[in-house]
Amino acid sequence: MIECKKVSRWYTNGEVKTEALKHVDLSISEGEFVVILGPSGSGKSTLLNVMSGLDNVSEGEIVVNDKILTDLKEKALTTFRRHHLGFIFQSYHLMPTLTVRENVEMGAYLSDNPQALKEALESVDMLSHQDKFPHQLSGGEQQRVSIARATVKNPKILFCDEPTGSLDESMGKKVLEILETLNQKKHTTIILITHNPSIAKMADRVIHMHSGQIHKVDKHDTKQNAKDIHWA
Amino acid sequence: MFRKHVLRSFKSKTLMLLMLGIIIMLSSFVYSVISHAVDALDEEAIHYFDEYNQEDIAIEFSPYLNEEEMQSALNECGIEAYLMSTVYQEDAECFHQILTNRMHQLSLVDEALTLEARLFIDQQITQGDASHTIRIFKPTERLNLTYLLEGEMPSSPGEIAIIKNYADHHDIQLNDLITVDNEEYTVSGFILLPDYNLPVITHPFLLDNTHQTLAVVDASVFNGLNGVIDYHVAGSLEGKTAEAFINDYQDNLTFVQSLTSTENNIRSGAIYTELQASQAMGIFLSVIIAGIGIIIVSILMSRTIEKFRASIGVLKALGYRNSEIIRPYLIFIIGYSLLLLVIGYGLGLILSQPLAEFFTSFYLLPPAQVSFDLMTFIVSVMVPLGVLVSLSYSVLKRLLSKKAVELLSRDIQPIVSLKWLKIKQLVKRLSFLTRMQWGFILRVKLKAILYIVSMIFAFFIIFLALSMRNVFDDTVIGYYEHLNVESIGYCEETTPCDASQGEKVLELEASHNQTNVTLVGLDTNATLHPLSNQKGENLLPTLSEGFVISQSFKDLTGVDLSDTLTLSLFQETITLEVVGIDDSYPGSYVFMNRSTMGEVLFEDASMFNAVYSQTLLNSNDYRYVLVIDDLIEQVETMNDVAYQMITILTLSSFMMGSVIIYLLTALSVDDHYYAIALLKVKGYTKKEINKIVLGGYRTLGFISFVLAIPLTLGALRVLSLFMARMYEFVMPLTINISHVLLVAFIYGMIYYIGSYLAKKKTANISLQEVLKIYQE
Repeated sequence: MIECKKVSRWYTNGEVKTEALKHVDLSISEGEFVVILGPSGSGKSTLLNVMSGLDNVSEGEIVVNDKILTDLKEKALTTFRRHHLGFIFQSYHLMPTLTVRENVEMGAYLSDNPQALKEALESVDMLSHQDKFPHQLSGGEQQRVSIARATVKNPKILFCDEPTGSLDESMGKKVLEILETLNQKKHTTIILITHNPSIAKMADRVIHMHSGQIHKVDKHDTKQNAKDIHWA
Repeated sequence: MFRKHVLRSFKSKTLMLLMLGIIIMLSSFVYSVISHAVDALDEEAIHYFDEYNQEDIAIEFSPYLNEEEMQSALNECGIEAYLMSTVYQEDAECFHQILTNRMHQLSLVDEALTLEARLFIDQQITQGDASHTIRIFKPTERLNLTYLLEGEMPSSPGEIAIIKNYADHHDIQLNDLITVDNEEYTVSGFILLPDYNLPVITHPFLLDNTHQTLAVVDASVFNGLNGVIDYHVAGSLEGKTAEAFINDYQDNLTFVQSLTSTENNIRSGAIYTELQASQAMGIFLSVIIAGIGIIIVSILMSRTIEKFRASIGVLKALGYRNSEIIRPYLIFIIGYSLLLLVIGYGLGLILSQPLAEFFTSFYLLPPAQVSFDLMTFIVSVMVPLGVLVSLSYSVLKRLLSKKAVELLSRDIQPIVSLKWLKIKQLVKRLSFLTRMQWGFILRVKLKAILYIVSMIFAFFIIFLALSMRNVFDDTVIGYYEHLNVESIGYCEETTPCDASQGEKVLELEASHNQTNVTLVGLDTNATLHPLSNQKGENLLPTLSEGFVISQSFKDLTGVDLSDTLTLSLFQETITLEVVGIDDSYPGSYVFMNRSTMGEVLFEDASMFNAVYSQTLLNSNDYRYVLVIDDLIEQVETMNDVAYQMITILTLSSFMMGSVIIYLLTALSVDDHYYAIALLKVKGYTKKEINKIVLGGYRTLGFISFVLAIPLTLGALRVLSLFMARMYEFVMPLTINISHVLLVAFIYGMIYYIGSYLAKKKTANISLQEVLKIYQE
């Protein structure tokens, strides 16, 4: 479903060249729950950005659902994201001027076949907060809205960039449970970035990143349930 | 719902939008009000002059009979006279014969010329205890037809029609009785005369409608009036301009004293100059003010849009198309700007009516009805809208061209430039806070440049406002005020006059390349008419070496120091080098040595025709006496009309400049929430934070202010020259030390109010929240 072939990404600032990704090869199958683990600066966010078409590669090729993302122009990339991908950010990135319901509606608008708003809000237990604005919610609640916004359009792939990074254990677990349900019931492919090794236990596969390279890959035959995770 | 987001996002910046709205509205208003008023007047005046056959040229015939005419009067009418008025008194028929003969001879010069005599008699009208001059005209049949404003034309003895402006000043209604030359007349109507847009009767500078008026009576009544007959001859030209006719005129008809085109005749042409000046001052300046306003709004709007980068980043990441993202922003900007531009246009349209009426209360013109004008609408609404939308669109496009990840990673930069921190080690003498402050300025280079440019615009616009306030004081009024003269006595042409109470001056009208010039002959030791250049050096002694020209003549013609200038008058030419420029703006004035002037023109070095005096000269001793205080009062009254426009321009630009300074100050604080919050958290005191973050802006403000002074001086000079060349209207726009101090004070005030309010807003926000938001 997602294939990275010899993907490199570097940034230059004057004469200084910073290599964020170095010749990364990776393949992710449909319905897989993949966790990318690594310390800060290991290149995990860059990998997520290039896989989702948010950023360009400097070298190599990315293929998603038989589409070569690296060949697509900006407009086509937008259309691709619109129809196939969902995003959850560490900092939620909700529209502060829109209510919970309206934020979710923003996601629904992008899909030809969206989930019912009520259903999407219920799935994250936010129906009762639907008329509130983001600043009236806690961090965990905001992240749940962000998940609803991403999932309401029924994306095939969900990219999650440190979705629990700003949350405490209880809130974090709730968010993970939602993701787990999505993966299990809707077979949504989930690629989750974290530096929390505990979360890795609920993944089918764990990609360990270090210095812009895949350092190690762990495959779990038996996954741990989100609720059973011990927060590191 | 995305529209809701945009709407609410802008709503959170209500104060800023309101301020921007004021500038947008003023930009449209300032052009709309002036353009509508001037256009309506222009249109109405042209229509009126055309419809009522305004003369193209005014011809003054000599009041004296030539030898042939004297012989003819004696032989055919039995009258022995040498003045035309005497002939009229003796035998009106004979007078008309001579006049008709003169007109016939002149009309043979060019078949394009049609002539008609404009007969009038000056009498006195009694208003209570006061007595005013009334010029009564005989109705004409072809040229300068009488315009009936109200009531009816006088048709029987005892009826008179007068000017409404005079009637209004003295509460005279239709059918009221007025006393003229001890005779009672009923006011049958209010009239206007196309050859008298100003009631110039006694002196070219006495223009008001309160102490003099014009009137018509029935032709048969006119023939029976007492008093000295006077006249000028109105000429109409078919397929030829007055200027061309005057230039071509070579015939030496002895009775032709002067030929003046309508536009160069103050009684009929002042309105043309006024309209031209209004276009120069009003329309041209309003375009500049509006233009600056729109540029600033565009810059500020762009900065506002920049603040939506994170929202745009999210939308982009989610898969929204550029067109979907851009549309609601543009719809809002178009809607908001259009609304305010239309309000500004509408307000301008409404207020242009009283402005136009103010013109017509001074100039003798039919009422001008202001109406919607498509071109004005386009210039005041559609053009600014186009600029605003284009710039906003380009900023949005630039944002959208960035990758979503770039937009999502907040534009947080280190508080101080790392490069600068290295350099600062070299500048160890500076205090830490000062080094930080300078580092801060260098860090935000682009913003600093934009800040300086916008501030310079703001200062310029306020300086422009202030310089416009004084513009009239520097022109004719300023010129006469700087003379050490209380009155000027103008001599009879044929009789020498008493010069014992003043200094002799020779004043004549001349021309230079079609430009009318007042040539003034002064003595090199004159004390009452100083001449000095910008450095204050006395130029009178240099008169013996050549011409001294007025600054306004220089601006109008481009003639400069050391140029050779040729003036034509009386079929003579005088060519001299320009040896000085008098720092005055009376109009096209050229000064030369009186004795040289008398020698060249009259072969008489002692020739003079005016006496400048520090006392009030007796009017019986001169053809007329010009009292300087009266003249200044008159000019001030005349300037009242233009003052209305200037006031509108001044207030608008002043307001715009102030709003710009406020917005820039508030935005600067707004831009640095994060830095301020971080420094606060770290334990810096308010004073230290102000020094580091806002101190930089104070420095930038000061730099802008210092830069704005020479730039403004240069720009105003260019503007003045442009208007002089383009509109033949000299407007000495300049700034002085009091303006500089005042602008510094205004800037200081607005800066402190703006930064105080912005800081207060920052103080109310939780520090942790600010840091969290920016660190995400």
